[in-house]
Amino acid sequence: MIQMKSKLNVIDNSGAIVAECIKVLKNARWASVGDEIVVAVKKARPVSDSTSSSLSAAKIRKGDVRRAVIVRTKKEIRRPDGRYVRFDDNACVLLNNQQQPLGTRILGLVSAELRYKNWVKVVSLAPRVI
Amino acid sequence: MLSRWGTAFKQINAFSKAHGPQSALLSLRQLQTTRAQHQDQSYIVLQPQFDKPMTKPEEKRPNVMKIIAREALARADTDNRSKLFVRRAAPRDRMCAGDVVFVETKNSTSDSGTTSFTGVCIAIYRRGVDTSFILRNVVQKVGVEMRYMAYSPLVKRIEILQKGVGFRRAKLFYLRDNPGKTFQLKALKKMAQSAASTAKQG
Repeated sequence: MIQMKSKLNVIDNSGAIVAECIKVLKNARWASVGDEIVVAVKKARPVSDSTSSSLSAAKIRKGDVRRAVIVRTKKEIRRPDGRYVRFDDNACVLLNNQQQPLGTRILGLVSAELRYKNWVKVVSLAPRVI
Repeated sequence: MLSRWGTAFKQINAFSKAHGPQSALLSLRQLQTTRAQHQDQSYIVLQPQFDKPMTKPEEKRPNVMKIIAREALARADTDNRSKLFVRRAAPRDRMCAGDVVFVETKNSTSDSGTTSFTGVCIAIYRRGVDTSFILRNVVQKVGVEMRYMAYSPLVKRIEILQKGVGFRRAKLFYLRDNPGKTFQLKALKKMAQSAASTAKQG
């Protein structure tokens, strides 16, 4: 149940650490796993000039506005067979304008709902899907 | 579908008024079998059908809904997993809050692939057929809780790997904030892996 002002952990290697939701990109107040949101980066890893030129990945700084997909929620998600999954935190993965993950790795587990909502790249990068 | 049940209840009421409450159960049974034979419309007849209503000897005026609930549980209880949820069973036979439980789930009714999850049972909701329990585990430094419906046909196997010791509550939600050493056991991981590997072989 992510809405405006919800803080999420960013679990890819884009450089952002904490992002705040500023818009839910569907005609609803809340977003859940597999939904796209617009986030503002609140906390990011320091970007040094020496490494930035060699890396091909995008530089994420504090204050950047990006799109993201929610991968874990603290609110339980219902599966069609009556199962419920709940994680201990809210987490997202930053996306670029083509809906592809910005980072090259995903650090941590993601929910299996992403598979059913066609986030194939995210699911394949994730080390563990539950 | 609601109107069908409405007419069924009207027929049962009419029948029971004429013949007495006990026969209302028999009339439902007859209704199910007769309506199944009707060729114009198709009805779902739950299998297996029971010849006699599942009343207890101490029930002088049995309640229809209680008997229907018992029958539903008997139909869903394919591998005797109801023994895990009986309150009066011995602690080593039944599932208690604090046990390390392994659940194997089928991915779909047609697919043969399975998913497994091991965790500490932190809550059990005993609701007859809708009995469910919550398992909690820490996977990749993130706490994950899964709530399973015990009698779902997709739940292939429920096994208690280790009995919990020293848990004095029915609901262990405090483990979310104060886990202590509950999720730090390396033996837990080994048990989960061995259970998962036997699941894949079996």
